[in-house]
Amino acid sequence: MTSERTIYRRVLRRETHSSRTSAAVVAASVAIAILAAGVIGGVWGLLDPRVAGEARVWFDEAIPVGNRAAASVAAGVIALLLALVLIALAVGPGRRARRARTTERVALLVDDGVLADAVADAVALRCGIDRRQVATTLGRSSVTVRITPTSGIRVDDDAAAAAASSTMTALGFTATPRVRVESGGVVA
Amino acid sequence: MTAGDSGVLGRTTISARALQHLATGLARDAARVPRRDVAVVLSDERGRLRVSVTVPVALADDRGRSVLQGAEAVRLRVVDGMRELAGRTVGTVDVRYSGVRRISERRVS
Repeated sequence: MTSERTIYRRVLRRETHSSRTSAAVVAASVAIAILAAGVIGGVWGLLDPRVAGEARVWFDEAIPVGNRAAASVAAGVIALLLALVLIALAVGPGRRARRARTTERVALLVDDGVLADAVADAVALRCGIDRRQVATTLGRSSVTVRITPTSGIRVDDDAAAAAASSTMTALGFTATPRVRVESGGVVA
Repeated sequence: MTAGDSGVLGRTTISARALQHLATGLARDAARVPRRDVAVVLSDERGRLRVSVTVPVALADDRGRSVLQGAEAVRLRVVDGMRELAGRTVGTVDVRYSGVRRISERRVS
């Protein structure tokens, strides 16, 4: 029983957070390729002295002396962006748009989109408006409901919030509802 | 419209075309002109309904009602009718007169 709980917890954690394997593999492969190129070039340069001269000519043609400053700034910016992306991937929580809970016997994993659809259906039914006039977004601990009213019919936003939160509760998740009624409506 | 108090869930939808026909009928009744002379455009105005009515001036023999009074009658009729029959709050009714119709109202025995 205890082991089951542990397995559930581990599986749910795996499924609700994105893996860093692919990013790590890509970063390691690129690093290996750059290092290998440097080593091979260095050894080749030692064995054949002409290679260094040819490489310098090629480099001068690729980036003329006048463009050196601009080229180094561009290279720095690219490296900085790459570094920021990698740091964000490494440090960030990497949450996926899913949420999980466990009951006595089963572990549940639900896509946020499914919950959002359920909430939108409930709100549309409670407010008596068309399903297409309700859009729902799920945040970490909040559910945002945007309602486009039908022209000339007032939308009861308290009822909409109540419907949203009761739906979430019925499904076993908690979220603070936030209802926004658009100022412009649709005729039908 | 919210679901009624009957306890049965369900939503009531009135299509734009039905609303337009309803507004046309209401305007025709108030302006006392044939239906084909009435043009109605529905639009949204910050969440409320805006009805633009185009009718001709009806020249009848027996009525001494000014054009402005006629427009007011159309406005009231459309607002009341849309609220009672379709449950819609009308924010604005624009009445535009274009053309003149000589209407002879006969009593049908």
